[in-house]
This record gives sequence, C-alpha cells and structure tokens, in this order.
Amino acid sequence: MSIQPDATLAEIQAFLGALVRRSDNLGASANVDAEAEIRMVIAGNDRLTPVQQAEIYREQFWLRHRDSLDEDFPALSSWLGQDAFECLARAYLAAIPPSSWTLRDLGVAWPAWLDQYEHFPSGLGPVARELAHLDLGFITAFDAPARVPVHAEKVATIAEDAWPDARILLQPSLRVFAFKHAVNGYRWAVRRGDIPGSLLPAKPTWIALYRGEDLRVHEAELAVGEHALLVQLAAGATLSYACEQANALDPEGVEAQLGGWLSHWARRGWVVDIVTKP
Amino acid sequence: MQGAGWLQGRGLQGGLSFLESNALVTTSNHARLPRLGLPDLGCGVGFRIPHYAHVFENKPAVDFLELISENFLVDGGLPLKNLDRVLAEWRVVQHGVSLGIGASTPLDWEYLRRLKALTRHTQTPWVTDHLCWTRVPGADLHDLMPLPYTEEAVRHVAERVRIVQDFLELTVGLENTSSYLTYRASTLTEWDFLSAVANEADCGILLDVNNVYVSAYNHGFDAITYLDAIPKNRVVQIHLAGHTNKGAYILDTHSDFVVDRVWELYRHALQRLGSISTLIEWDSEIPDFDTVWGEAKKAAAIRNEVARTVGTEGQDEHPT
Ligand SMILES: [Fe+2]
Repeated sequence: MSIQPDATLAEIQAFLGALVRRSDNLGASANVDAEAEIRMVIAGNDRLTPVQQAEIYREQFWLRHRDSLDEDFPALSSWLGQDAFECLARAYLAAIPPSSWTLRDLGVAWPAWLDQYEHFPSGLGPVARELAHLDLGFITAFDAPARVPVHAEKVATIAEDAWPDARILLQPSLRVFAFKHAVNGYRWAVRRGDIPGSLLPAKPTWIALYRGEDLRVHEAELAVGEHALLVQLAAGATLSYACEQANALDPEGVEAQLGGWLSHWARRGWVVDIVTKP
Repeated sequence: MQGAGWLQGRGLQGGLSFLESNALVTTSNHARLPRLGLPDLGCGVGFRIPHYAHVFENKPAVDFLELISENFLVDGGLPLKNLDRVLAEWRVVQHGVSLGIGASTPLDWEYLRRLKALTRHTQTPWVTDHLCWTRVPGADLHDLMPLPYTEEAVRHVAERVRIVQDFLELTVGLENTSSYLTYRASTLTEWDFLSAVANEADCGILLDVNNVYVSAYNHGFDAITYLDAIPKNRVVQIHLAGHTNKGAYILDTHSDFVVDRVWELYRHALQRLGSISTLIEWDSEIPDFDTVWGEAKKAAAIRNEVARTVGTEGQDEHPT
C-alpha cells in the first residue's frame, strides 16, 4: 500500500500492520522499497532512525509468534531442528496470519497446513506432519469444555434392543489419532528432556488423548478397531453403524472386545451420554 | 482536576480546541473521588504459572493478585480449576492484553462477552487493558502497538471505551504502554493524549510507572512532567516492573527488579495521587514467588512512608 502524510488512523495501522509482518529485517535491502514510507509515518529520534524504530516491532512480532509456536509444538520443533522449524513457522505465519485474539489459537491451522506443505527437508515430512497433529491435540484437549460423564444408572436402564441405534456422545476433550509412526513415544522423550534420535521407523499406532481427573492430558494406546469405532461415534454414527465400519478393519477385535472397550471408556470418563431412539 | 482545566497552560497545539465544546467538560460524580471511588487493595503481585504450586501450597498473605484475563478465557480444564482456587483465597483484579481498544477494526464482541462473564465470576472491582491497538483487518499482531497522539485517535478510543464500559458495567482502566516509536502525525504529548482519552471516555487509568520511565527514556521526555499531568482521580491502579536497557532504547521485558529511578518516580506519583493499588509485574526470567512478593512489600513500605509524611486525603496506611 502507499501511505500519505495525512493518513487516517486506520491507514497508519494498516501500514504498520503489514510492515511488522514482513519476514526480513526492515533495514535489509529487501525492504528498501518501504523506507520512504516509513519515514513519512514514523518520526525516529537522535538514537534510532524511523526504520530502526519500526524494526523493533517487526522483530518482536516474529519472536513472540515463533516462541508461541515453539512452546505449543515441542515435538515438531525437536524433530525439525531450529532452522527448519523457524523456516516453516515463517511460511505458516505468512500464509495464515494470526487472527484470533488469543495466542492459544495460533497453531490451530498449522497441522492441516503442513499436511499440504511439500517443501520439508528431505525425509522429515511424514513424521513432522504426525507430530504436528499430536502436539496440537495436547493443546486443544487441555482446555476443551468438560462434560459430566454418563451415570452408570442411566446405562443400566438402556434396553438391550435400544443399543444398536444408540448414539454414544464422547467427552469434548477426547482426541483420537491414527499414525504411521510411534510419534507418541517420540513426544514423551522430548518432554522428558531426552534428545530422541533422528530416525523413527514406521509403526502403525492408534492413540487417544484425553483429560484425566487430574486435568492433565493423558494418552492411551488404542486397538485399530477401537480407534475406528471412536472415530465413527465422534462423527455421530449409531453404535451398529460404527461397529460395521470398525469390523471391516478389525473383525476379531470388535466382536471380542466391544464390551470391554465400552467399560474402559466409561471408566476414563470419555462417555458423557448415550442417546437412544425415543 | 476537573473538566478541561487540566489542559490549560500546557502549550498544546490549537488542535485541542475540540475538547472544550464536547462531552469532555462534563465531569462525572465519581471523577471527583480519589480512584474514581474504587477501593485501595494494597500491594499485589501478578499471578503467573510458575508460582501456582507455591501459592496454592503456601497461601501467602499477599494483598491481592492480578490475573491476566486471557489465561482464563478458556472453555474448561485446569485453568478454570486454578481460577476457582485463587478466587477462594485472594482478592483479584483482571488485566487484559487483547482488547485492542485503539484498533480501527470493530470491537470483538465474542471476546467481550467472554470477558464480561469472567469479570462476573471473579468480581474484579475494575478491569484494565492497554491504551494501544493490536489488530488490523485480517491479522492480530498480539502486540501493544502505540497510537498516534491525535484528536482523531482521542475520539476513536474514547468512544470505544465508553461502549466497552457500558457493556461490561465496570470501570475500565487504560494502561499507558512502553513504546519504541513515535509518529509524525502526533500533535499531543503522550500524557495529554492519555488524559484526554480518560476524561472523554470517563474511564480509569492504570498508571504503569515503569512504562512512563521506559517511554521517557525512549522518546526523551520528562517522566515527572508526565506524572504531574495526568488526571489524578482517574488513576485506579499502578504497575511496577523491571525492564531491559538495550542502550539505544529500553525494552519493557518485565524480567527484572524495579530500578531505583522507577521507585523514585513511584514515590513521586504517590505524593500526588494518594494510596493506589499497586502491582508488581514479572513475566519473564521469573524468580521465586517470595522475590516478586518482596518487591510488593517494598512498594507497600514506600506507600506507608508517603502516607505518613504527606498525609493527604485519600491516603490510607496499609499493612505490609
Ligand atoms: Fe504494566
């Protein structure tokens, strides 16, 4: 945009808002185009030029958002290393500028954006994408709404023939994932302060993240059928439809363990209601 | 100071003539009372995550705690449990960073609805945020961006503060920020700008004495002039903090002890303003709780000393 000396408040803000989101130092040659306009808007003083004053805000914009992403995506950060992580953070912030008033939401679109991103350093992409989803799961499960788990008495009143058409409502903080690598083990190693290796062999992994009674986020390994069942139920499927879908992936597991899984979920507080047909 | 009288004799540019004919000259009843009639809570500490465990376990008898509103504007989980534990034991005030009162984008009503619900829950006696802008269309900068000190900005901000105060049904205190740039468009000094906004909006001021010091250093003005110019009854709370001197400028990092010169400015402010709820902010390189509380106790000792020596109306001795 081009700014005029008599710019309105909104124009001054739009100008600075675009300036501080530039990726290079404002004193760098890449930004020489902006210098005349910066001088038109910003006064400077005897210690700092207008460009140097604006640069303080540009640098703070970058540091604040980089640090926030680094804190929220510890496993992704560790896997990529600082340079690649920062490169991706810059690209993400440029593609999807922060739009929420809270930094807590800064990374919510990052995993989906990384799913489409094609310029990872060699070989790092598949694990990086999975780690990003896992890191975000911990953030969103932590402060998701809480609902009171279903009461055992209510479960006992459900007639036998009502179960197939029942819909099982799950705790809003529950997150389930299917990964091709054991990224959960990698993340725990990072959180413990270990420096995990740079190789993560392929290993199909199904996990749930849930908020425990201690209000911390925990994880549980799932069977493949159990994962499929939870995905279907979370999408609103009836129990019979969910079982059909899960059965296709894990016929033995679903048949043998459905009852055990249900009581396991209930014990962990994952089931908040069972809605039967009137 | 009443009405527009505080503006006289300050060598202001003619542009301020608009102030004489509008709502600014009407002075609300509460503006005749120290702290707008709001309570003096003593000397408190910003409630920060590294201190949670210590505070819950040891229950320090700190006068009050300041909560960052945004940390508790969540749907569920541990933050809300921690909030209720705090509310059960301490008086709290809410301080926010996301209001963006000076932005040209529309007010964020979803944010304001959540904020109002939280103020009801915490029973905060007032709510504060910064005299700055944070957003442009399409992006939130998550920074306290300085405003140009113009008539246009006074009108714009004051109108929005009035809307927010009406909606929240609570006094809003605007905090002066540290800033690192000045605009060619500015026609007012920072203290006249702050005063004009507060008077026209009929709102409170959160006077951050460290920010006055930092901006005075960065922009070459006199901090005492600033402290002596703001409308004294509108100051509802004071902030004190440490900073980082980078040589060519000072960065407001909240990462250290309050420096001696800021303590002197604090003493000077109290001599004029009377006893004002005072809060220590420490947000990075956070030491143990007792170290931060020690700064609050130091503030309390200064307050008591000033109250004894000045003994002006509105100053109440407060236990340390
Ligand atoms: Fe402050």
